[in-house]
Amino acid sequence: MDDRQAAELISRSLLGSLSERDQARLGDHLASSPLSQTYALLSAQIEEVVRSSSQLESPDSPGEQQRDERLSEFSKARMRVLLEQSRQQQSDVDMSDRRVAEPPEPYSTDPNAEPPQA
Amino acid sequence: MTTSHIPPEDWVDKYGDSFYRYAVKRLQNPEDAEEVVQDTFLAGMTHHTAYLAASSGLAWLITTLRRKIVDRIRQRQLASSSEAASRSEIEATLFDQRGRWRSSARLTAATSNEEWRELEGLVKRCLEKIPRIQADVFILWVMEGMKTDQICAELGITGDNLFVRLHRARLSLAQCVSSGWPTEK
Repeated sequence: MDDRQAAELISRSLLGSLSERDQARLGDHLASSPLSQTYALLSAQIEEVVRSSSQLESPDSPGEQQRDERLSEFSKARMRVLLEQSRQQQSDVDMSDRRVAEPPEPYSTDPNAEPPQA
Repeated sequence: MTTSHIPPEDWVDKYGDSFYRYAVKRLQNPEDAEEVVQDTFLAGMTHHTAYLAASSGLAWLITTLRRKIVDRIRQRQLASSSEAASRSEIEATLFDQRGRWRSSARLTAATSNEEWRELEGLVKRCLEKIPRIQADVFILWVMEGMKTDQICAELGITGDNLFVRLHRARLSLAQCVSSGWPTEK
C-alpha cells in the first residue's frame, strides 16, 4: 500500500466505513510510515477542532455578544422592515380570510320577515 | 403566545447575531449567512401558526435555520458540481507519482495546548480557503453531524461521491493547516 491509498483508508476510517481487514492493513502501514501516521492524527485533530467549536457556537446563546461576527445595523434594520412588511401582508391575508370565512346571513323562511339589511 | 415564543418584532435583536454567527461558521460566507438568517425569520412569519404551535419557539426557529443552511449548501453544490469532476490537484501536490508523500508535505499534528489553539485558528482560516464543494460536505458531516445517507439524500450525490469529497477536504485541510504551521516546529 502506498501513502495515497493509506490516506484514502484514513478517510474511510474517519467515516466509520472501513472493514476490519482494511483497518489492519492501515495499521500496518501507519506503523511504518511516520508521515501517514501524522496525517491520520492531524485529520482526526482537525475534525475534533471543528466539532468542538461548533458545539460551543450554538444559535440559542443570544446573550453572547463578545464575538466579532455580528449582523450590521443596516442588515438588522432591513430585516426589521422585511418582517414588518411580511407581518402586514399576513395581517391583510388574515382579514381577507376572515371575510371569506364569515358565514352568509341565513335567509329567513318567514314570509313576513324584514329583508336583511345591507 | 407563551414565554418561549417571543414576538417577531424582537427576533432580530434577540436572535439575529447568534443565528448569524452560527450560519457564517457553516456557510463560510457572510452574505449567504445573512440571507439564511433573514429567510429563517421570514419563514417564521409566513408559518407563524406552526411557530406558535411548537413547544419552543426558539427550537422551531433553530430547526428552520439549519434547514435553510442545508438548502443553501445544496444550491451551492449544484452551482459548482462541475468542480467535482476535475481531478484533485491537491493529491498531485501531496503525493509523488509512486503515491508516496512528497518530501515537501510538511505534515505535523498539534502536541500541546498552545499548538491546539493555533490549530483552531488555522482550521478556521483553512475552511474558508479550500474549495467550497469540499468544505460544504465536511461541514455537514462534522459540524452538523449529519449521517452519510442524509447528506447524500440532501445533496443528491452517491456515497462514493461523498467519500471522495470528504477525502479531498481532509487532504486540502491537512495541506493548508500544515503550510500555515509555524516553521520552527
